[in-house]
Amino acid sequence: MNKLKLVVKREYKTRVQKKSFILLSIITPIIIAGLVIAPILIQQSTFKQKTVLIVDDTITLGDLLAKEKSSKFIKYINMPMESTIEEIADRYENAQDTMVLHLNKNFGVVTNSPGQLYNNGHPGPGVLKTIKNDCFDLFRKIQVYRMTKLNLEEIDKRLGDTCNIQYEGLGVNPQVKSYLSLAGGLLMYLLVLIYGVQVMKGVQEEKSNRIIEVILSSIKPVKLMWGKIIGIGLVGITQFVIIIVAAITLFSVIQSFVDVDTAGLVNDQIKMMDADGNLVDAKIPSMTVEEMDTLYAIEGLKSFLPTFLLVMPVLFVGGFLLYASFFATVGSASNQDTESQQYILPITLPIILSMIIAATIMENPNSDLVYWTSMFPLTSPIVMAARLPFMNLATDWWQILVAITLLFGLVWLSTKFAAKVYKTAILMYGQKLSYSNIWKWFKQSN
Amino acid sequence: MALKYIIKANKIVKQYNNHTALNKVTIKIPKGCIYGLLGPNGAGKTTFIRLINQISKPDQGEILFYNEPLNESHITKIGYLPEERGLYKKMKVGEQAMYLAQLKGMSKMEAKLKLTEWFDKFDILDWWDNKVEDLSKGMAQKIQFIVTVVHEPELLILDEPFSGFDPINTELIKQEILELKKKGTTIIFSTHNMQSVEEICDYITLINQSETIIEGPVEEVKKQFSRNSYEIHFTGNMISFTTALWTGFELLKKEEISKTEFKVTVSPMGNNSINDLLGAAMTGCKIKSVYESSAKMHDVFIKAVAQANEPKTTKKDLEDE
Repeated sequence: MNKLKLVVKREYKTRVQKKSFILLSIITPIIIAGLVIAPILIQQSTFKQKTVLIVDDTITLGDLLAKEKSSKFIKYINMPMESTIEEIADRYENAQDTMVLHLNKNFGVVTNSPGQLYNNGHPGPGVLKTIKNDCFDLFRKIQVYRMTKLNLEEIDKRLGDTCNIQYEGLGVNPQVKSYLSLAGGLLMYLLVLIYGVQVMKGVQEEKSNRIIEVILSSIKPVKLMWGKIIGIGLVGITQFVIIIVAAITLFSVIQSFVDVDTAGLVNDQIKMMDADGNLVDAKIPSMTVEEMDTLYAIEGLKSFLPTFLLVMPVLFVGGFLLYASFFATVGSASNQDTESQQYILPITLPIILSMIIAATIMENPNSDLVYWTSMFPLTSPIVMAARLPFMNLATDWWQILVAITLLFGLVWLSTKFAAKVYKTAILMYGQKLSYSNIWKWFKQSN
Repeated sequence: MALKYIIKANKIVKQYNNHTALNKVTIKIPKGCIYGLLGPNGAGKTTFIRLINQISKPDQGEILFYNEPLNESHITKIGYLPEERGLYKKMKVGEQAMYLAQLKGMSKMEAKLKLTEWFDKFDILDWWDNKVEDLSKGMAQKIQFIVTVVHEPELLILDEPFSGFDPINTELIKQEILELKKKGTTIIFSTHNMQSVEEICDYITLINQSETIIEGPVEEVKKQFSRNSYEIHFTGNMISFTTALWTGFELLKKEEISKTEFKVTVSPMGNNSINDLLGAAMTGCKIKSVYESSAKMHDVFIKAVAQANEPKTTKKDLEDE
């Protein structure tokens, strides 16, 4: 077998078989999935629809609450006219999820005449707030109706049509763009940093455990270095693919969650109707704002995915090769782990800086800083990755092209430099790691 | 019959920055011998070995492998066990041995077959799936020796091969080296252990301060450095033996074993024959044994290096000493 292939295979196999890799591959998507799905799951598992039985002395409000405001969170049931608050409150005294709301006839008319909510235990501030808002909203609409004689639907419609802000830009909605940008930048940052450092550690390992001399009697140093960089890079890509696949799977999972949820709601509504006769309309509820956003996000993501999958790997390969060559240089020139620490900083600095800039993209995607750093090769792998979602590919494609060209130009130089230093430095023991030594070794191999 | 050389290094110069590691070094290594590469620390031995292994290239001069300029195709014909040797700690023994064997150009199947043979021979087959970090130093040394020889190289370069081995394993490795020599492998043997040089080397080169100062067959080198002297073991009267020295011998060393038993080293002055001395001595002593004493490699090393480091001392001076 070709020797380069052998080295690549060894570097890849030993790392992919490591427990840490397997664990990371399983845990990372779970963590990501957990972060996205956990709130939904927690909400679903702990959430029980609250039933609010209304003893309505105002005559109008109770019926409207039941018709207009019943949701998957709160089901309002207007009790028959003849029910008294004492009777109902007594009956549901020990009920967990059923509350009794008493609206006295002065509710909304006299200042100090609040509606009373009876519940076994505290209903929770969220529920209380929702009930309050529902009452307030309806009451406001009733007031408007009294003055304008417009019905509730008409008011809703008019409010919705006239007072709305829409994003008129191209592509994915800004919120989703922000998430994608952060995710892209962060992913690139972690991959370049983690696998770049692994290259350095790998080079250091061979030097410090002295196997290097045996290996170099079989293979040229530059080939060995490339084998290591390619092997570890492939490990990075594998991890990358796992994360991407996991992410796509994850979004489908979220989507399915949204669907199930809607179906569940419909069933609830139907059940509600069966149980309570004509008190509640059997209408199919619309999705909540959050659910709409999620669906919107998924749709946006789908359209963005092809560009993302095309450009990200190229940026990753470039960024990785660039930084891996720096890390390999330091690895080959250092004698021990501790010695290299201070030399890692100048390498990691542009990486960290890129991430900081990438984080500002969400706030200001069109700043000069972002524009220039997304094309400057030391920062472009991360900044461009984070900028991608905000770019109009139809007009900005050339910027990506320039960034990639510059990046690979520098990669060509940096790998040449690394190979020259590596060749000499890898066999130098007892010589301190210093910039002057690195330069000396570079010149020596000329 | 003319000797066939596996390596001919001709006027090799290798410099690192302003330091000359090898200065016009010429070494010819006959095929099928064990060739001792000796020298003090920092003399340039490792540099020379690295040049043969093509880890680095000479600045001047050329190295021929069977009269062919050294090139990449020779890599698989050379096995190298460096002094500072290591293995990947986290890798399994078998996997690692397979990797290193394949790097030396063996096919997967061939590597597996030969490695199994060697592991079996050293009785370490059950280490195959162990991680290197679980092995002792001696155990790891065995693996390193195996991966050096598994591809059946024509030239084997062993740099301090016995370091880290206990006497039993040292003997095992020594026998393997001799076995390989019998099969026709040429071995370059770099060591500071002069006793092992005497035991197994056929030829030596002594490098000092980047230059070759001695080279040739071990026996000749020893002869070159030995004074014409004899070691005599006798019983009897020391006075009568001393009288016998008047036949023209100088007493170099006297060891009193008992009051009537002695071991002495004597050296003839001029062209006097040992027969005269023995004839005269036999009148008062009983001679138990007589050996012509030759220099030990240890002494050769020290003398030669001391001579080389003393610019005004010539070889003639050394012999006259």
